Amino acid sequence: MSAMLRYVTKKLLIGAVIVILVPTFIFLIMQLVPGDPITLMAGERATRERIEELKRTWGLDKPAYIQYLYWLRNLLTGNMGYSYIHKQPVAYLIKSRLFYTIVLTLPALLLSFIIGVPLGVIAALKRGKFIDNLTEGVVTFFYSMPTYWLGLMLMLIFGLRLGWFPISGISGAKSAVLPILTYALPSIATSARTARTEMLEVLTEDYVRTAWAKGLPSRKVILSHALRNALIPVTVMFFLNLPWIIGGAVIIETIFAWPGMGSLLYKSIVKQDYPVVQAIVFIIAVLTVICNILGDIIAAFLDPRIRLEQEEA
Amino acid sequence: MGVLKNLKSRRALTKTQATIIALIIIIATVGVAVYYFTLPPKVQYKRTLTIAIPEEPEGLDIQQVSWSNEVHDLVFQPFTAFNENMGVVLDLAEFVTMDNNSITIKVPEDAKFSNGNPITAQIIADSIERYRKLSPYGSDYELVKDYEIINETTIKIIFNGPPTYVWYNDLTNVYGAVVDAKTAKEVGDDAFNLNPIGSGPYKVKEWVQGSHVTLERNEFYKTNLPFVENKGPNPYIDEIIIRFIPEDLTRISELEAGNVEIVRGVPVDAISRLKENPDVTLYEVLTPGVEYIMINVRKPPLNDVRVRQAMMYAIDRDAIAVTLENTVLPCYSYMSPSMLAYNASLEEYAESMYAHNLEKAKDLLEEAGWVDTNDDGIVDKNGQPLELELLVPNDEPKLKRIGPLIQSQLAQIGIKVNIKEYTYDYIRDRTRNWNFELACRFYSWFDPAGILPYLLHSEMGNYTYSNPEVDELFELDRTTVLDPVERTNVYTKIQLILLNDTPWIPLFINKDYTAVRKTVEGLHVMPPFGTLYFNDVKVVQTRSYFTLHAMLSFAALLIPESLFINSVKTLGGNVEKRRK
Repeated sequence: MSAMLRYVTKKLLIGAVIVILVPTFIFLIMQLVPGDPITLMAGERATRERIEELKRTWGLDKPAYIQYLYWLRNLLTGNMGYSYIHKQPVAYLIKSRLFYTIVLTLPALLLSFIIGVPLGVIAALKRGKFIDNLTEGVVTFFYSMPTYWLGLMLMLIFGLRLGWFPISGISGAKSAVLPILTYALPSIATSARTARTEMLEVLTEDYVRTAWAKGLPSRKVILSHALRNALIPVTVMFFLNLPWIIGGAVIIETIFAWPGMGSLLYKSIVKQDYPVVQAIVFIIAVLTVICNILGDIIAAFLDPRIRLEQEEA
Repeated sequence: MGVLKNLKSRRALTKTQATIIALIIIIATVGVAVYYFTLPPKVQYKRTLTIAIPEEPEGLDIQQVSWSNEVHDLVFQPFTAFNENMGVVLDLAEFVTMDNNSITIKVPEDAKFSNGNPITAQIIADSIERYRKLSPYGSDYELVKDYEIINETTIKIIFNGPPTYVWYNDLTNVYGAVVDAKTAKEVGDDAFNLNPIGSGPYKVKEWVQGSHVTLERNEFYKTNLPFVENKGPNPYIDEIIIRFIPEDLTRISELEAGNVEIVRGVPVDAISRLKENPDVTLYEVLTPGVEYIMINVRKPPLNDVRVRQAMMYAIDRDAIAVTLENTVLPCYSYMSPSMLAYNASLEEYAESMYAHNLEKAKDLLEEAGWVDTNDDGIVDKNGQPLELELLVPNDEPKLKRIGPLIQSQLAQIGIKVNIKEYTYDYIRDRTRNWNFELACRFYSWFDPAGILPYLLHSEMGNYTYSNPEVDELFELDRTTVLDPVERTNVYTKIQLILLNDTPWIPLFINKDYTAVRKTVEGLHVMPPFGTLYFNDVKVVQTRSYFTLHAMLSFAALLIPESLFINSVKTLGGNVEKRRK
């Protein structure tokens, strides 16, 4: 157990460093881009003096390292900064949009595992038969489909032509169906593929053959031997994908006029609204570190070999 | 068995009785049907109207944003406005006048903001001071010296020079509208940016970030606009919802499905389809602005005016218009017909001067020393080929589309153009820093004094072009009160000089399209920006509901009746049997 503790602590320390480094890196990149949000924002009729005045008010005339230190200090006191473009605290912007992003990405992620994994497992078990070929075909179709095209097709067919679902916007549970589907279908395809590959690999392992040879009932072989091992990489993948539910899906949000974090992030990058970009990136970085650690712990829990390796070390 | 038969015969009707009942039912049904179908169509009105626009505003407080949209137009009310002929008319103000150094505004005695607070002379002054402090365009009022409160509802603004700039550029649109500065101070600027208070026909009910703004009727609204019939709140439309839908196809689909009534920013591809749609009306407004290529006149070889003029001749503006499916108007001069002080004969002159002429273009290049000596299709001079970089905005669809076309048109006279795509904001920044060769740009503002100096005056614009004669003419308009004819003369003179100096290659004037479903009646679409006025609007509820209801009721009556007739028939049969 103490080995585990050491392992986790080491990971947390590295994680803390990453969490600071990533937004710093973003800050540096955005400094390299010429211009600043005020100049970009102001139209023709704004005089040069006026622009300089506004920059002074926002502290954008200060040298880069001073702005960075301000940001760092704010972060450590829990202040996520202030958006130049929207003139609102970044926390307010994120709060108003986070819910809509999660409503989209979380169900899609869950669906991709609840439907995708069993699909992949069944395809692996019935390898070569009709089910497997059908699944492979459908999965490849959705896997290679560009999001933009899939989203627009679903919208035009089920929204405009048939009128079964709203075309865009947030107007209740029904309006979330098409965006979630657009996000989920390719995800289901990816999960199914991975699950199938893992399962096939495990089924050819020696210990599984031994189990068959021993005469164990099929169900026991599949469930407690094959599946248990095949699902380890799949579970880890689930945790690694978890942080991205915050970033949202820019394309889907744009097509369906969905007010999520994805479109906020994109808009902020284009308009050089640094505080928003850094705040969102910071959140994603923190979540990534946490989920990585969680993923490792769970993998160690499920796979005794990893635990033993740690203890040996 | 016999007992049963007796029971049956006692319950059965006689044939005559059955016939009479059937007749009554038939007559009643026919009567109801006639009643329903010959009634004059009952018109019902929809109480909510939805508008779809491409981009969400930065904020809702007009004094804190750098561009305005439909939300601001509904929440705020300017003192004056433009009618169809670009003449100045009254809106909030009861009376406005201007002399050499002052503007006097009188608002109605009962003028109120949407929260019931009165609009007083003092609050107008406070509002202007707030604008000067907060807005990127605060320098509009830089000549303001003092305020004289003549009475509760009349204010005299005193200037250090002529007040024409404010008269045309601020009073006539929402940027110059009075805001409830008192409330702004109480709640703070951030909160006011989320929920501003103006005197427009609607007020903010809810803003769902990234999705939509819901506006509800302002019961205190009053106007003096001459071109609307209803000068108060619109009793038919309780709420207006403005939705932000950035994707073109989605926006148009919502219109076609009838989920939104009005769409702004109709993309080029959808125009022909919408023109043929029987449920939709397309409104076309010429933008008060020009889209052009800005030239860095200080960077060789562009510092040679002959090279610049050659490009003017080489561009085929008609071909550009055709490529953009005639959603633009070719332009050879520096102003648009939707602008004040526009001179149509100057545009004609410019067109005749620079009509598309490849030979003339090549001659000019040759004169400047550019010839194709090595036969590679590109002209050169002193061993250097004529290669230029053109900055094209990837977020402006029309300019993006014609970038390659311009490249090929200039290739025809031997100029090699390399296209670099960036966002428009970035390109504008590069041109401000003189770090470019050719750049696609556009402007959109109805008063030349409010935009052209910021682009062409040596100091106010501070771009690469500088001509003291042009500077002097701009300053003449700024420092003297000129009447409209004199103003037109000044800008004609300016453009004549510009046509010779060629700091820009004007390309076209954009046509703005607004698509409106035919269920919307009484909408006014006014220049210069196609501003929408909803005072007289009613949205007709589609009648299909009503007819369906009628048909269903009719069917409901029919069904039990037909069952009855069947049972009557059987009964009749029994009666027959009994007789036997």
